[in-house]
Amino acid sequence: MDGDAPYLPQEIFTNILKRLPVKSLIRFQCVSKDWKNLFKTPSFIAEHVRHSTQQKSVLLFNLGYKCNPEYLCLINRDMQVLEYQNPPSLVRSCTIGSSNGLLCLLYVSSFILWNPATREVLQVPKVPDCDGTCYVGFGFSQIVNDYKIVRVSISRLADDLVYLVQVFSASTRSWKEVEVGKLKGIMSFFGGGFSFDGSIFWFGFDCKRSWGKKLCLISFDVATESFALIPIPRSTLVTIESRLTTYENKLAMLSKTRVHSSFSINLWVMEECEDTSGEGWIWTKIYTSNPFPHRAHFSSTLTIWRNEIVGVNEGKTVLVLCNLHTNEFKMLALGKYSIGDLIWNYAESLVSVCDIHVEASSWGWQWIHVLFAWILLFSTVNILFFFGSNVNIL
Amino acid sequence: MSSSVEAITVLSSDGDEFKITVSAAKLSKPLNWMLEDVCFSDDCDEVPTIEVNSKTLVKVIEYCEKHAPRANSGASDSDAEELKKWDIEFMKMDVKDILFHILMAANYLHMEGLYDLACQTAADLMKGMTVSQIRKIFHIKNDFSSEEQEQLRRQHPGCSFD
Repeated sequence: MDGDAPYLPQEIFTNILKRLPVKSLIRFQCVSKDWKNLFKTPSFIAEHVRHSTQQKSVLLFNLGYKCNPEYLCLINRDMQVLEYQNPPSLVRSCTIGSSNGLLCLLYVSSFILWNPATREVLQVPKVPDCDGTCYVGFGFSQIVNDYKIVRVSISRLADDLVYLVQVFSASTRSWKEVEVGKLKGIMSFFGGGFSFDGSIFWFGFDCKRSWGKKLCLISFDVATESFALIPIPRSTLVTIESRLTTYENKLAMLSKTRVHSSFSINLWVMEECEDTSGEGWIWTKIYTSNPFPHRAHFSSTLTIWRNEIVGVNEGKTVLVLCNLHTNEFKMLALGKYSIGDLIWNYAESLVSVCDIHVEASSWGWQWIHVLFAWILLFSTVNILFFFGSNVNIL
Repeated sequence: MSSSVEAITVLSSDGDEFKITVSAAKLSKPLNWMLEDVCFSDDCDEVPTIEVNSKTLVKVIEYCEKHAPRANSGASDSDAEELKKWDIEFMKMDVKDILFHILMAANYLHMEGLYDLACQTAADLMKGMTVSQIRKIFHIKNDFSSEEQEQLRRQHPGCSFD
């Protein structure tokens, strides 16, 4: 028996395959039909992306406007800064979001969904240009298993704010207008559009309050396509430079506070509580960094990556990493690059932009069943008629 | 008495006897249960059997003995680094000959650390393999028709069936 490998049970087998890079999986499609089909099953794709997100996430950033904007850059786990080419069909685009290994890119009012690992591209149908100021977001909902782009346009008409909310669904491949709902009263968004747990989050200025503008958190539920506003406690000291991120599978926020002549970073986590009588969310400050040794070396916070808070210097050419466990600061010079506005934690995946099926697929089958039933019924009736008429003739 | 017992004897599926220290056996839930079940008094000579062949069991016990001190007491970062290096050396083995048996054993013995390590080692080895090498180690037949192969080649230029 030695020298002959045992047959591995499916569970072990999947556990090995989920650790392979997408490049290898594409190559191993040619092993057999079973393997090719396995790499297309939603459960395998989900397991692969889960592992990839936990173990292999890299940082991806838009280049600042002084650099060549045709490229995205990534920082790998060995802390190397590498160029990441944009899809050939869309130059000078900017990335607006990343979810499960898919990137959503925008150029003027053309969107593209792109899986850089599989090199699949989906050109999103065009929408008319925005009238007012446009805010966009990209996210995924496990509930409906769909990726959506949301575009909010806010324009001013006399003293009123006019809103237009459009949502693109990757499964139906079409845009539709959705209700403004609770968004009414929001003057502007900031902070990118952060995708987390089936929702997209932004900071927003709420002008409904009688005593002036107030900051809040805006969430867009990808499944139900509805907005909600989450109040931000004053103690969080949110500023225009605060960033949303995740920490230990919770929605989190990074903000900075002035300490003497320097800054320190605060990490807040937000948890939705069951009891909706209160404000709905509990904010907890779980970490405060040491003050930065040199104020000039730090400008704003970006994200959390592998137990480190990632920030950037004023010139946006040096990343500042603050280890959450050891409290140590580390600098990473980006060489000839500079960071644009946003940075994402990205993990490669097998998710296919051209093959996203929601309940649509099960509905499809149901319709086929109904159709078959009708064909059967119809032909039976016809046969009966045929026999009936024959009998009459006889 | 149980408190004085430092090692237990187990039988491999080939019938060979192996000694494993109590602290090392704690790395595996089933072994731990066996430990609790085994009669520690002198007049009891029941030896539990583990459904793992001798060659594999030697390696599994070697892993347990090495990892037990850290698992039981926690260790410094330098120890963790050293253990990582040891793991890499430990995993230098033939896929067909032993790695797959270790995978099965780690799964059967609920040893999360070893299971993860073995899965990752197998994946790392597969990255460097050709499609036909993969088919061979997993006992898989190429069931694509020549038309299907042609179609796949069109979709993924450069993909190879060999």
